[in-house]
Amino acid sequence: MPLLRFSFLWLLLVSTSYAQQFSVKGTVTEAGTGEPIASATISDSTKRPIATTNQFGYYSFVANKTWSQFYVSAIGYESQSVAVPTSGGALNIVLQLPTLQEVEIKASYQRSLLTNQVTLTPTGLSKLPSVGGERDLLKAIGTFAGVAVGSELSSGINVRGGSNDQNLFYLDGAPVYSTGHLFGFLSIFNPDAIQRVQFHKGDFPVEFGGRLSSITEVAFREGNKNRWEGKAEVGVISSKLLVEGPLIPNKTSIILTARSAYLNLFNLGKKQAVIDRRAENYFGYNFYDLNLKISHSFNANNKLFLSYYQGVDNYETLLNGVLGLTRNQNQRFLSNQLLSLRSYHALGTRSFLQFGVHSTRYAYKFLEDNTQFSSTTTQQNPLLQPRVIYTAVEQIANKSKGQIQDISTNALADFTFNNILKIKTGAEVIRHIYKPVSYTFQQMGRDSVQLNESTQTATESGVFAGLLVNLTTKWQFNAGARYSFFNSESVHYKGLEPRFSLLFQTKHQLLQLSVNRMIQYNHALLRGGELVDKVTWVPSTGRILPQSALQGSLGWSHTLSQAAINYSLSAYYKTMQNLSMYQYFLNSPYIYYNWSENTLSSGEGQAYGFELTTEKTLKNWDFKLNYTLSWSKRRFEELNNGKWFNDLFDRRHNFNFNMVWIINKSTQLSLLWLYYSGQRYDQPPGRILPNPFTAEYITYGGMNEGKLPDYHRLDVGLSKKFYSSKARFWEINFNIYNLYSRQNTYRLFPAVEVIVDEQKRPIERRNVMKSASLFPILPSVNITYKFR
Amino acid sequence: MRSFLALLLITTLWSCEVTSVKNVPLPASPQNLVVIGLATNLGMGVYVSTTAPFKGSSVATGLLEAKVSLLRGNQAVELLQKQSLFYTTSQRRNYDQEYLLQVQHLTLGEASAALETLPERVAIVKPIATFDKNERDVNVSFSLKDAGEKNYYAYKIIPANNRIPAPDSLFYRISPDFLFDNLAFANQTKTVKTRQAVAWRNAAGQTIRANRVTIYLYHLSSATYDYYRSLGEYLSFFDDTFAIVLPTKNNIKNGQGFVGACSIDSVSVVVKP
Repeated sequence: MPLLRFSFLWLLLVSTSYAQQFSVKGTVTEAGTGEPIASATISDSTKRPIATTNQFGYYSFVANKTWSQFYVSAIGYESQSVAVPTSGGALNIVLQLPTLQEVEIKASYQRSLLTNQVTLTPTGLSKLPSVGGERDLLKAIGTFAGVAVGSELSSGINVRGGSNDQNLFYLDGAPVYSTGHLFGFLSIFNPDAIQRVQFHKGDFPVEFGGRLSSITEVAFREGNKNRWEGKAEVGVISSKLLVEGPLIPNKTSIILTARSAYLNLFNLGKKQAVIDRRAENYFGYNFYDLNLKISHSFNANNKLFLSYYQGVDNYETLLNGVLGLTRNQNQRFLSNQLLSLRSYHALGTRSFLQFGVHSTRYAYKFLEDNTQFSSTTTQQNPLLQPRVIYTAVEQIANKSKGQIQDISTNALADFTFNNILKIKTGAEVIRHIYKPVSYTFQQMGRDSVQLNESTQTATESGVFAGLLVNLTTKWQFNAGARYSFFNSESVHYKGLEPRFSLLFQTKHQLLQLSVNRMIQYNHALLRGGELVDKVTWVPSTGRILPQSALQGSLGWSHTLSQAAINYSLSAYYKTMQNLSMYQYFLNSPYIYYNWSENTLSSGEGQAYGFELTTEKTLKNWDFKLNYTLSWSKRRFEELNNGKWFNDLFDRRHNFNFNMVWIINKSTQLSLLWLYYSGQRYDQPPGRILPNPFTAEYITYGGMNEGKLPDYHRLDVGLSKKFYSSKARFWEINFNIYNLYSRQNTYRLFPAVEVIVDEQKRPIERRNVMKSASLFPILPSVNITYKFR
Repeated sequence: MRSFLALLLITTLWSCEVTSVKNVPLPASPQNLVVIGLATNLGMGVYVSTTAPFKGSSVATGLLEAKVSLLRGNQAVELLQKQSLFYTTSQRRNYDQEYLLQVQHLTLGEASAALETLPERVAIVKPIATFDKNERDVNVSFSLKDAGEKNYYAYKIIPANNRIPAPDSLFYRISPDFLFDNLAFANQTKTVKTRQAVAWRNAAGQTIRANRVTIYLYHLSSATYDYYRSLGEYLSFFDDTFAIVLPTKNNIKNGQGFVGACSIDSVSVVVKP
């Protein structure tokens, strides 16, 4: 009864205040380019946040008639005070990039207080030294608190104890299934095309589902709406080109970016030389990606976006054996294709609708070929060189391919009733088409063997609704849920994914408690921590159950505006159920075939930890520090005698320090020092000696009980701009990866060391542990030319 | 110049690997019983030993004195007898999951392995052995009729001269190099073609050439096949920088090793010129 009375009073309060208010809506865009600014904060006259812009830069709030002005701020932009229109209505706001007063970073520089969400802008990305001249989004996300990176040869991330396949990436609303180029060393996201990245590691908005550990929304830039401009860049690994401009000024804009590696340019003719046996080996590698986006504004309330992405990795090796009598060929072709059509419609001043239709496809094709030749020598004329004719006598070719394709549509509606109550609701439907793997095994003179995993389809859908209630001026309550469904020919799964959070927020402080549940119906078949780029996605089946996670987090962040310090602390606890793990043999010619029977399901996971982030601005210096103390464990009935074991990337300490020194208007020095605990590995405590049944082999203790030596390195980047006119400049970036050339252990493995005497004769064989390390000091330069 | 640049790039990006011996602390290795064996349609053999420390010597210690029993439904049905190389049963049995192998040692305690059901024996048909041109190798072919959805096999060719096998030719030592499954020929006839070296030197240094070969065809249980595959993977990729090899399978409770199950068919054929 008291609850009913309270509800009535509260509704009365809402309706009363509603009568004294009016709505203000509009967009927040960047000066010069007209790019929308997402996550900009709208604050009232007391600097209390009342609204944030969505990914289209759109905002709406209900103003009290007593207000005279409000404030707009966004990370990387100058804050702005805006007069409240007397009777409400539409108001588009343009934010300026920081005017640095030559070199000083202003103390009023706005930072996010949210502890479960991080926003990354191209400016933020440019503060990190690049790797081989490539600014990399995933490497940048890997520096965030709560994120553990994979091995050095991996662009994978492990968020709050989750595994790499539990991260969902959206490129302009379309999901991405494979995020790596160059064997995962670089991510597929071309930094030139990125407008903004929203990374969620907890407190997931209700419109997102389908992965357990993180959601990353990558938004392409819309392109300059006022003038044509472009950028060309040449680096050690790749070169890039960007062109953008208005098709119809202030109405339709286009942006096109392309990036390509060019190692093959230095290899021209080498492949043919290997085929002609004039050379021993050929290593060919190329990747490219292409981004295209067209944005059209029908009017201030209705916009349409068409985005396209294509990325390809093509790797090939050819190796001739002794005397050219054998040849090994290895080809790998990986591709990602995405198409997205989205629109938004602002209805009145209090409703905002979004619609999207997306298509995404990830595919791979591999070829492994071994050919043996016989040779005959002919010499028609003693004065001529003898001619050797090679004839293939045996050939074994193993071709494999697989893909996953999605077609999806979604709708989302936001309603702002007043400054107390906001509601969002919507639905999403995804049609998955899985072709996990098929093999064609051909042996010369014999029938070929075809192994095809049947194509499977499934429909994943979800309906969701969320409620944002500003209980008081300082307390906010978010409650929502997503109800998801997964239907295939053989299974029908469904589940409730509740999301709750409670915030206490003042101008400079935020305390947030959140609890949420996520369900993941798709599973990636891969083995973490090694150089395996053959990854395929499969659906939940009767044997492989949907994975789920329940996460609770408590975070506190505080800004000391006088000292220009921002720090945040958070703690999280996450449990995971029905985790899957593919069991495979490295040497199997038919990896992933019979995946359903070879995949363990019903694994459990447990992760918990503490995160600390501190940012400090001091004149023209910017400092940022992230630290994570974490634990991550797994349990599978079939593994480790059913006992709990450490996750492969259970890194106890994860620390990084980033410093940026803006020397002057055109010169910037950045520094990044990373330190983290080594990844886990199986320790070999003993051996089984040679016996009548087997050769000697090593026995292992518990799974992942060992720990590699801790990892640390220092990266430095120096960039300098040379202006040829106000709108044109050259930029030179000089980067050094691993400045002090630390030999970080990539892998620790048992081996035999042969001790030899002075005459190099073996005198003793010792069982030892060997450490393999990659990437010593790697300097690189890239040159950019920006033109207009 | 172009080659130089290519070389530079490849060197920079791909050949940065540095391998070095690292002195890392490893956990103390408690001595465990090692039990490795095969239950077959021809009988059962079990080797019993102890684990050696990782950094210790590689000299085998030989067969350990232990009480090795075969149990069925918790009832001892046979005490295995110690031979020169391993413990053996005296009777042939149709092993199944009801059987348990138990090893008891005075100081190392008790280890056990639950047995698996023996797969059906698969007969070798059309065995042929012919000398290669150089007469050092023999081309061997034989067929088998596969029946069932999933079957796992291995084979072994043991050359012999006047029925005396080549040295170190132990038919119960299954090589992971000659494992195969029926994925590509389920319910069909499969012909295996292979080549075997058939010349060896005797103790007096004379070259002996085989005039017969014995073909062994093993029909393995799924777990046994997995064990030998994991062992093969270990042997192939041991000391490989980039291959993270899964630990070799172990089905010994309170110990290390594996007791597998298979049915064996064998046929001896004269090598034709």
